[in-house]
Amino acid sequence: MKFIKRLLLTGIKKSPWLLHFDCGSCNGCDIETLAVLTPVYDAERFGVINVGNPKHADIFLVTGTVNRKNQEILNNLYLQIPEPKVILAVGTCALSGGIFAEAPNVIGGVDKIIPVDIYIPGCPPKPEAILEGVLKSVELLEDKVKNGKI
Amino acid sequence: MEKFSYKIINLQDLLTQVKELREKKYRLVSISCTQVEEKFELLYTFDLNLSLKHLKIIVAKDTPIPSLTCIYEGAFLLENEIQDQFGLSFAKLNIDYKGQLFYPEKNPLFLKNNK
Amino acid sequence: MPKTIIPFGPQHPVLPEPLHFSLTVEDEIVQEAIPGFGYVHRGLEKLCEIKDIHKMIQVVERVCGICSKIHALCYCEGIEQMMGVEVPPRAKYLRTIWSELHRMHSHLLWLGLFADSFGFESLFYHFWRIREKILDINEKTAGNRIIVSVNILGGVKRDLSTEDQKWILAELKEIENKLEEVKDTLFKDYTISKRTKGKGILSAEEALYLGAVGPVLRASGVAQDCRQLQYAAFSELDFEPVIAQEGDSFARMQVRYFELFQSIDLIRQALSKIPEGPISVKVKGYPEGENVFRVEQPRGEVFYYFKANGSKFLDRLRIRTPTFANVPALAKMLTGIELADVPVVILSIDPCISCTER
Repeated sequence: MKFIKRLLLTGIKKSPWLLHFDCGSCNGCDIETLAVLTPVYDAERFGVINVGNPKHADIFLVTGTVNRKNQEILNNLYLQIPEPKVILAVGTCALSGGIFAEAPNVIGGVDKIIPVDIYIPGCPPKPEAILEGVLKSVELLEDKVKNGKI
Repeated sequence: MEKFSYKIINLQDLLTQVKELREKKYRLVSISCTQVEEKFELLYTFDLNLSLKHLKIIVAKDTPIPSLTCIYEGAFLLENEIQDQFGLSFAKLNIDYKGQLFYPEKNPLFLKNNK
Repeated sequence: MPKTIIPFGPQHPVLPEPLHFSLTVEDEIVQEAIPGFGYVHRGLEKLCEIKDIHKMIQVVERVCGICSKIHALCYCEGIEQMMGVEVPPRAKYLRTIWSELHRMHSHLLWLGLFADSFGFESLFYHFWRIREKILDINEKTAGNRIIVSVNILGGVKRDLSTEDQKWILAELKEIENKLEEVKDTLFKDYTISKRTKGKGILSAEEALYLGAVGPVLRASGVAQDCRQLQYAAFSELDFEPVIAQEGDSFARMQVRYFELFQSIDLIRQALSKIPEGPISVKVKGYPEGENVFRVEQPRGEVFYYFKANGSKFLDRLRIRTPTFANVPALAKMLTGIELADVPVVILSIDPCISCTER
């Protein structure tokens, strides 16, 4: 068991995989998130890869507000990601609803539906800020593996 | 830019007028719905070589409006959106989302007394 | 062969945004495609009842993060037309320059995503690296990379100094060279032709009938560009709409690629003609009556409808965005193609779901 834990720790530290879900954002945060993965900011040097399958992911990056139709999908994706996982809310809308908080179809921030570990404010946040959030979440993942029941 | 002006027509004449525009090769640009007290104003906008033509009809909430989808197939999204947001109903839609295009259940959020 | 219904989306690796399609498939060939929406819908048109006409500029900028500047341009020009406000000429030119920069950043972003949709990862990275240069210009001149908030009612908030203008011209030269470098890859590569030529064909007649706009319409051979309506400073600039004849995914790529050069040319013309003077006028009072306004976005024509009652809140603001108009055409393109080509054809219209649902 100890061996598996050590293996998991190395794996997660060197290659945290990321699932990105646009949950009703205006696209600003999404394209900044994608910009983080492309050559200028190059998150891949830390082993971060954007994956399409929730079952492969360690980090769940959510942008945008929650509305009445996507809350179910958000929750589904959250449940499909295996433990240990870290949830990142990117952008003012994901934090509180932002400028859309009063719009008729908006429920609010991401943390109304799923627990959030790291909040990154900004409209949209700068790529450096998103990158730092992703690196912070790697530390958090390590903690979760060390102190978890796995 | 040209000045904005529109022509108010009767509900019964809508389809014949739109058919004429279709024969003249007009493109359907938009249908904009506005609530004015208890009535609804629908502004149909058409374009030909970058000049616009507007038709307006005024309807009550329960009146079924003839759908344009028999003339312009692509109108179904515009009409379904109005069905969703204002709770109006269109007759003979080719794809009818029944008020659930945007919302999981029927709830016309854009009505003035509905938050 | 029995029919199978395959759900496509809302969370799909090729789409950065949630869009859903129910694809009825028979023997790998798509028979029917029915779109499903609502995952990004916020209902922000209704915010005009609680936010005043000046604050609404920030809201319409966030209809879509990619073409934010051009949404604000359309909103401001529409309201100014209603109120009879005459914008100073320098402000008109500045609006034009920023909106063309926005078009370039959007097209480069799309070319990258399109390359990604058929698995050409290095081309994707290449385009996004070029795009960063435009974001640098945005950040230096307007203070933000993506959501460039420069428009106010009556003009613009920021000015371009002579040094900035020189620097922009130098950067544009470099961008132009870099774009020339990828031209051969884009138009002669075997994989790209194989994956895009003849996929998702739309004829000119169908495009007009289904209400397609922007590059989708122009790739089918219809020379219609809302910049010909001469809003902002486009009346004093010289340009021809870029068109292609084939109407397939490759033609749509071609149109967007050449529009990049058109935008570079327009910015150069604008910078050479820009007059001196004030950049804004004070706007007093509130609008009354009804108006419509449309401008050309990277994705096509955007249509705004305003209804005002003389108070500081608008009665109704309706936004018909370009992707909304292109979705019926997309559903048509998807019928009759192979399932494996679906992501490429969906991306070929440059879908912006956040625009579509608002």
